[in-house]
Amino acid sequence: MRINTSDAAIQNVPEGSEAGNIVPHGGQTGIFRDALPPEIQSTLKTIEPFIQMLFGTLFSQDKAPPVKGYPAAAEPSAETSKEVKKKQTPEGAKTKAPTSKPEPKSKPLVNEKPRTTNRDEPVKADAPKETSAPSGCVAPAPAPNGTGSEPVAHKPTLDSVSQRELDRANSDRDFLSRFENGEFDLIESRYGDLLGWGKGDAKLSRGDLEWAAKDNSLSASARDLANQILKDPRLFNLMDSNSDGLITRVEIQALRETTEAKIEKLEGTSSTAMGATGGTGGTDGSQAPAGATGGDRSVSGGSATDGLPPTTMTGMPGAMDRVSKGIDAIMQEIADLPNQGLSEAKMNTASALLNQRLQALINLQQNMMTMVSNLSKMYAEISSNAIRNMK
Amino acid sequence: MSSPTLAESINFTQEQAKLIIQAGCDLLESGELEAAADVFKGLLVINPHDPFVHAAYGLVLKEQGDDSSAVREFERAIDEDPKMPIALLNRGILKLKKGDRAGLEDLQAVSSLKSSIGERAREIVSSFASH
Repeated sequence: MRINTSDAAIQNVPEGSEAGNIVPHGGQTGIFRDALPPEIQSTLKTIEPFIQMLFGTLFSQDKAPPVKGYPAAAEPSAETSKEVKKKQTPEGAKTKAPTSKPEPKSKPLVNEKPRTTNRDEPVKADAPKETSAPSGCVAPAPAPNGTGSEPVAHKPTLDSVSQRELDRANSDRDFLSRFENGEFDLIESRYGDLLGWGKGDAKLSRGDLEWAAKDNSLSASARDLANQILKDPRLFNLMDSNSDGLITRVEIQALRETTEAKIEKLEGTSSTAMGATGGTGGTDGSQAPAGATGGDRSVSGGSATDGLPPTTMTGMPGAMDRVSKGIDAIMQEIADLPNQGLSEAKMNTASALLNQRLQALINLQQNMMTMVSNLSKMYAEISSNAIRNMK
Repeated sequence: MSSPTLAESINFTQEQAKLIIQAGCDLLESGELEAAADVFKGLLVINPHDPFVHAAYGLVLKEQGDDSSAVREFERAIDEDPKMPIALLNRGILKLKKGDRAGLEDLQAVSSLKSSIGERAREIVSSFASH
């Protein structure tokens, strides 16, 4: 969808924006609009399935080509295994406490292969890939250091595809409840304003909504709605996944029923997966089973990631441990700076650079901790549900 | 000989990177752009040579509307891997959006691919050809 350039609203293009594309800062006003015909503008859509594409590139091969800059030996040392086994909490955790984070995400991300099917079409589940551990044996440890070689007894392994779906469904249910309780106060006519403001397409891209939120030619309530949708990714996904762009109570109710049924089914599935399958630890966590069903209209817009390996904790502790070591290494470099015999100016420059890198690693670590924490909660919930169902 | 990356110094493997890229893209897809940016920036400190991370960070910047920085990241990705489809496609599109028809070269470079990237590139190239 592109904005109607004849509309008065377009005359008020915010500085630094391009037609039909929101550019909050920078950008080249009008160049694109002048240079390219409108048909082409509409071809260059703002929102693209780029993430899927990225992962089509990244994960389509079983063996990704080696990337420069990583250690040549993929197998971490035995010392690393022991080390990580001893401490599950990375040292760097004390550097900065994790900040609050949005609710656990239901949309795992990585693409095994680009999805080309229609969002609303059911997607057949791919058979999970064989993992290194045979089915039914003791589940391997969640590859804390990337090896997955340390067996851990009494640790049930849930089917990760079911976990992902169940998490998504639970999350959908919560979201729909909020919707039903009037939290979003979505009125069709308000969304209709936005649709009318576009070119009449049934869907509005994120870029369109960003633009709409700032467009003074729209009513305050429509702008407010655009903001509201932008602030809540789930709301955006709901809009985006809806075929006609309008959300009615009946549709919400139907979604709710579908979601409830799915949860019921999945909770049963998860319980059977408990301790029975094992082996999802794999070699490094990156080869988690592919495939998912999805396909039915999920509020989370999950179809975008169907067939993708789920985000799991497997391997994450090992990666976090390495990041902590990176933080330590940079802190050491900072501490060593005064001994380098550098001029004051050079030392200041080096110090600023190292501090910048340190901060980047701390931010990375914080995000990883939050992700692990969210996933832990999700696992705990799924486990308790599964145990309850087994009784 | 270039100095070792932090990844090499701390034995941070490509597989571990892949896992975190996956998580970062999870954030990106759910619209948590700042968090996703943090993840990718951190990964670039660990290994500034990873084309996937540059491309992923480019996508975040693109979603944030910072097209010029996004192009810069896609260029870095292409520097590391001149055939990287996702970076070529996105750089091409961003160039075209700026009115720079040189973007077509990037798209043509990936238009023969039998993937959604190739499909998308062909769609745009043919749209231009008809004008």
